[in-house]
Amino acid sequence: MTHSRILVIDDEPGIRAFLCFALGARGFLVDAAENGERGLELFAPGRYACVLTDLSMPGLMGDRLAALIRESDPGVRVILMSGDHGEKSRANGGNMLDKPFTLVELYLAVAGAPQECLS
Amino acid sequence: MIESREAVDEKNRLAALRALGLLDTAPEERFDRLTRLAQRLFDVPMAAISLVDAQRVWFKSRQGLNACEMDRSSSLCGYAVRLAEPLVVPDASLDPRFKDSPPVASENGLRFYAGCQLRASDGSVVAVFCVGDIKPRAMTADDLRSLRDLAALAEREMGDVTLNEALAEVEADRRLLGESEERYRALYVGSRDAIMITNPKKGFVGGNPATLRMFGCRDEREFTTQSPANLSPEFQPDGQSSSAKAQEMMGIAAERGTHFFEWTHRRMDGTEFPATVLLSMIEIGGQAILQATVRDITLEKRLESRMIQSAKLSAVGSLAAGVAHEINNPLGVILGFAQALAGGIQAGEASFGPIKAIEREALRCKALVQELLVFSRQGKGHVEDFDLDQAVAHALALVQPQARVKGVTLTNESGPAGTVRGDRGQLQQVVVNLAVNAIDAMPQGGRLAVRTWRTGVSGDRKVLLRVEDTGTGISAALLTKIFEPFFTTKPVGKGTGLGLALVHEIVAKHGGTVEVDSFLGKGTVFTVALPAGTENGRSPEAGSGGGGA
Repeated sequence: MTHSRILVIDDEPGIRAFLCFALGARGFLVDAAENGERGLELFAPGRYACVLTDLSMPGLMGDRLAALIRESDPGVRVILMSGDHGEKSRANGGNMLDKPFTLVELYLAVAGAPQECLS
Repeated sequence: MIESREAVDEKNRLAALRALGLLDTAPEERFDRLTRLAQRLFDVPMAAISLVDAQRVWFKSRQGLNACEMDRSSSLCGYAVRLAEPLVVPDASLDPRFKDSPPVASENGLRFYAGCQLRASDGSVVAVFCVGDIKPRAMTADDLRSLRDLAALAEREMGDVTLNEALAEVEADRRLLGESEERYRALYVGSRDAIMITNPKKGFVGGNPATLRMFGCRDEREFTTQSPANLSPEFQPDGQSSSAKAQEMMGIAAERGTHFFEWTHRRMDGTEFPATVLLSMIEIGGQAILQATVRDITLEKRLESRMIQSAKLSAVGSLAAGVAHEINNPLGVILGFAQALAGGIQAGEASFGPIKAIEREALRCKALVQELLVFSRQGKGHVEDFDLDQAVAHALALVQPQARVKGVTLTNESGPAGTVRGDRGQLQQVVVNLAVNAIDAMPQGGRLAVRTWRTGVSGDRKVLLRVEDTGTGISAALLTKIFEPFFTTKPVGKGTGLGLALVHEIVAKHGGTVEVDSFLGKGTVFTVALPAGTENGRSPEAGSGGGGA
């Protein structure tokens, strides 16, 4: 899935920088937003193969954002990232990445591998 | 409703009788003296002072009568109480009023009867002074005057309400004392607490049966010949010498009357146990005696330490849950960049080692945070019914390489244990942690045996998991600490001190228990008990399906 576009949304600048770096190194084109509202502005149906969003953010929360994005583009893969493992109960149909995650876990999630392969 | 005149009189009469405070009290010499006198004076076998109650006649004093009371309706006193003048019956068997009443009609029944009324201060007749014989007799006018005089004396005694009360009080005290002696005796003998009597100068004077059981003495003699020092270790847990501290405790008890404190005792066989002691100073016959009530609180202590343990764990857990988010984000950045950078360089390059080190340490932090989060009581995680033996086999496959390197022979004699309900990953973690600890306890190699089996009766089935090693063993002192978080005997960097605490927490979350037995130089056995899952994949309720269409 080279040269496909990925949208990264996280209020942590370090996470945004690392995701841009790591995904860019794999040949993805990466857009980054610092909050859910900004992410929603950047989003357009058919534009992204995958959206990686943090769950807990000020303003629009990741799970609400994920639902809005899926509504406008059912084909897009949305992955929720969480640093607080207690939020697992609100699992996003299995598409969850617990921070901190390894590069292998990240690449597998973006490529759409089933969750079982991640652990 | 208007009460009849008679009913009102009877009510007043009974009230006056009760006010005397004589009913059902002990015999008293001041009345017995008068009835004895009547017996001699009239030369009759029977004499009595009869208090006429609502349904009965009760004898405050009686001579020649066995029963202490009789039915009012069949009693001649019961009849006389309604009359204004003394009742004299020379031969009751000839008197149509009484000839059929039981005391008269019986063999050797009453023939002669004479009764003089006794009045309370309000004038109502409450009792009868009476004499009787089984032979018919006549009564002279002098005799009747004597009877009236005796009755007047009895009336005066009876009317001294203050004296009655005082005497009744003395009587009640005496009865209470007797009862309390009996009660104390029953408590002393039946108590589960050890009650021991000590003479501060002579040592033990006595101990109840619980004392003998608690200290393992054959009999009371063996106990009383013990020096108190023999029944305590040399030092108490706070480091004070037992004998000095005992003196201090007795001093406080002497000063305040009682003193309650915790104490470590020692049995005859040398084993020690925690106890509470209540010292009370009592005086018996002018002699100061120390009574000690000792309760074995081993179970309470165990419970307390479990609660402290669990409180510690949940404190660790909530701390971890609170900071997890703040740690995981930066950790994610560190780990992510380290891995991304490491992927772009060759193993020979100068920066490869340092970048790999950053990655390794970040992974170590990640594992630690995840372990800590297990304590945050966020539930059991992913709950399912799974086969324990399979899970054990998977877990052991993970530690097998490590065992081989350390020269440890790993044997798995599991099953069939059947299913367990819970988080498979967490319970595998339990097996891994126990196995890794066992391997670490055998630096010279050894044997690690893992076994599972199913036990218990239907409705209360348990699955047991036993991990047994031939390692160095754990001393009794350390055994109480091994489940504490951050307690470790391993070198820095080798263990987080969370392994066994995690085992404890995960098992507790699953409604199970973990026990440990260890023998220094021989090895250690961990036994985990978990509630069994459904049997053969069926739910327990669906067991005995009845027939029917």
